[in-house]
Amino acid sequence: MAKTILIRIVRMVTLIIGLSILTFWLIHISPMDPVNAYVGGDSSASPEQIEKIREYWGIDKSPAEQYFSWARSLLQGNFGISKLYRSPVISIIKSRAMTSFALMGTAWVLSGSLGYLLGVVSAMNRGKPLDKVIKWYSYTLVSTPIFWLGLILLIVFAVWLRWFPVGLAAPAGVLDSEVLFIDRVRHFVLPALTLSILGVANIAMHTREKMIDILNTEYVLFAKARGESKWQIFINHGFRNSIIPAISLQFAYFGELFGGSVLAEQVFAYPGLGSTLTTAGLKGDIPLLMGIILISSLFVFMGNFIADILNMVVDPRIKGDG
Amino acid sequence: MDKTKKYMPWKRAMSLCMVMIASVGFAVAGCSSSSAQTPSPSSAQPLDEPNTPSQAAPKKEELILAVGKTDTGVFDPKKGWGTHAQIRLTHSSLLRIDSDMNFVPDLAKSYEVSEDALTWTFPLRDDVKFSDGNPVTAEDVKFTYEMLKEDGVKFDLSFMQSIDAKDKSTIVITLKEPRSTFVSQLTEIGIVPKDLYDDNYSNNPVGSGPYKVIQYNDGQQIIMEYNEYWYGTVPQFKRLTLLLLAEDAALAAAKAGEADIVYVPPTFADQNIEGMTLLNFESIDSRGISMPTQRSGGKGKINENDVNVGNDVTSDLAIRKALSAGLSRDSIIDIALDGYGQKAFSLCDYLPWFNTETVIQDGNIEEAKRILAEGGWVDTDNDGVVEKDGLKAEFNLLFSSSDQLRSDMSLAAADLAQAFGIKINAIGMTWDEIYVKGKENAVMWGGGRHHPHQLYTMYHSSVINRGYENLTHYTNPIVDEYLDKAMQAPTQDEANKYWKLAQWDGQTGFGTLGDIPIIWLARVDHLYLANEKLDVGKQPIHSHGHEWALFGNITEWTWAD
Repeated sequence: MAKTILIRIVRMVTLIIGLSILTFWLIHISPMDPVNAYVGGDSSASPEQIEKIREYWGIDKSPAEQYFSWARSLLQGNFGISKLYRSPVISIIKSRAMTSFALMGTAWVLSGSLGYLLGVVSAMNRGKPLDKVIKWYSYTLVSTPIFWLGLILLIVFAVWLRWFPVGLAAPAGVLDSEVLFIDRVRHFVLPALTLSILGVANIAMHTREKMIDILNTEYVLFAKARGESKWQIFINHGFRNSIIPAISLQFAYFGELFGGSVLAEQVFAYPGLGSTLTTAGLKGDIPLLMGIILISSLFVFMGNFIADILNMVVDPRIKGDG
Repeated sequence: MDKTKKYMPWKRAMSLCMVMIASVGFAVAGCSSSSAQTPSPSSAQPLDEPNTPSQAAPKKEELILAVGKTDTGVFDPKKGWGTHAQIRLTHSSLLRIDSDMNFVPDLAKSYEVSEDALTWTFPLRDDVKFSDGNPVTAEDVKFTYEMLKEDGVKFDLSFMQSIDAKDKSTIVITLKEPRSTFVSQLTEIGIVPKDLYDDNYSNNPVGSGPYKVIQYNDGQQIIMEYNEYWYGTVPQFKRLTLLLLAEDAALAAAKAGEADIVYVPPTFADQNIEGMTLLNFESIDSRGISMPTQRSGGKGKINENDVNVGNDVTSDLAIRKALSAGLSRDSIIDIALDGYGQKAFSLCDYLPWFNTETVIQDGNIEEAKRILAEGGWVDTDNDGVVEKDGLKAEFNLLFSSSDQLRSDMSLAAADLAQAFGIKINAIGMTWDEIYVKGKENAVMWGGGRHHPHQLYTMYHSSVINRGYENLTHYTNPIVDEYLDKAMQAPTQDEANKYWKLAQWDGQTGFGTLGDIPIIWLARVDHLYLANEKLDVGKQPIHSHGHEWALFGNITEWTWAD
């Protein structure tokens, strides 16, 4: 167990090194000139100014030099200064990460539990109208782009019905000290809902398949023969066997969750890591981009890591020694 | 009968369910604030506003605006606050621009330029205070300018020799070379307090504008309150909330009644929202075609890259004149801007330094054909494209493919030019590619500021090969002389006289009657959807960057009850 964890950690470190080199290299070969991205197409910047900007961004140095100076300061725990915001990368990430993680956390729990429930119900009622409805719902959602769904929810609930606000994380013109918790919840609902609804489809369909496999096994047949009810079969045999794949799937879903939150945040003008990532990428703000990429890859890696550990703990067969 | 009975419980459960969903929805909406009852049609008050005065209140004192995102550089001139006219709400500057585009006093009571145009003297007002109650002194001005000069990234002050506080209320600035356009920077640089300024200034922005920032939520909103130490006219609105929304989200906010004024791009301009009207302001944000003026085979630099210079077709004056007279600017505006634009003939249309003689009748295909024939361009092989000495009148027009406006304009111009026998190949690419190929091909170029400095950087021969200035390699000694004289002029009136002569002096110039190295086509209108009760006063011609162009006269804004 300890050995496996150690191997995973080594893998994580190499992953991050590889990823950071890849990102740096990709930015370097992209046709984007950070200075042009920064000053814009019709700026009145003088050549002296452009020279200063070059110096300030450090792009007068070779890419290798740039990478090593970045990596060196990262080892000292310094993520660098965002060129665009002109403040430390770590403080920008901190201020935005909480909103993103709250959003993703809620969506993760909601989509996981609802998806699992729907999957189980669907499998237990295989072939019946309820199963068909759930399948139809899942297939429709899985082929729906998240930003489109977000826009639909926005139009219906914010513009037509006016139940929820159109965007942002707090009401307009109200001081932080006066913002009620319920206000924050109202602003939170639509983006979280958008993100949750899509996650449901994935987990529901996988759970359904797994559950059907279980229901076709001989031990379930035997249980039926003994006269166990549907509920008993689920509790005694179905739950433990189907929850493990569901949980590992849900942890592995971290990556898609992050990608989805980038889009959902754009649609709802919800200030999180996703919208910051987009700005940093488009404007060529390398330190900020690298910072967010590192944090998000750590996040996705942790998801997979937890899934593995959980599997080991729950299922003795995986433990092994290799 | 039996059947209906059987289905009854199911139906009842359904309707119960619906009621529950609905009531949860209303409960959530109801809890949030007192004003969340169904809005009456007459009041367009935002849903989210617990603090709005009730209907009995005499005057509306709060505004909610969504005029664009400002993710970067908030409130700190060193981070770029002021480069797009943002400062007027929060800061004051030595001078400001009034609605008629005159440079008028703000912090400075007046200003005086020496005969050699190198020494600028500003007596300061002594009754101006920062929002924390401390006076704004000459030391603060000196500190701000020196700090920005040293940084050199956001504001270019490299031509400044020194700045001195002669006494507590007099500032003297000495320049290395004459520069009448320095006057514009005096309106853009917001003064910060020397004692308080540090790297954390963005979080504690103390300025001397009509409003002070009381809360800034990164990426969400800025809340400002009236600054009781403000020395100018008292504004009607005591509190402004700026929502930092992208264009789509801003439109949604307007539709949901959550904002009083929002910026809209031309594609959204036909949206009908009850209680809101479309405001349309002219801008000087101009687009035109830069035409290489030298014959092919030359070498030069763009941004320190070695590039080819010159084009045999565009360097022929008849081609440029024919395009300027033959292209219908109105058609291009209709196609690319849905009609929300103005014709452009120079980089400075209808600003005080614009030569009105250069307004020509355009869209005249017969005239274009005549000019071409006179210049020796005739269609001998009947392929619809004119030739001269075996050279076809055909050239490439490069545009930034990520810019919808420039792309539409390029394609429209190419289409229209066919009518008089000029073949334009519009090609989309990235700016980085354009900065390599832009001196041997035509480019859909842009510019336009509240100051004439770009006239110098786009048309003077001394700046060739510097950055991407004078992209066309335009060289005319007479124009150079006028531009030099304009820069050296000690007064704005005299400077304007020479700026006008450089466009057309009766014999030559860079304007539409002269050499036309850049064929200006259109100015982009700035559009806003605003509550019909809001009056934003008399707006000057807007400058590049729409977000904050609106606030120059914030103290004149009123709300009709």
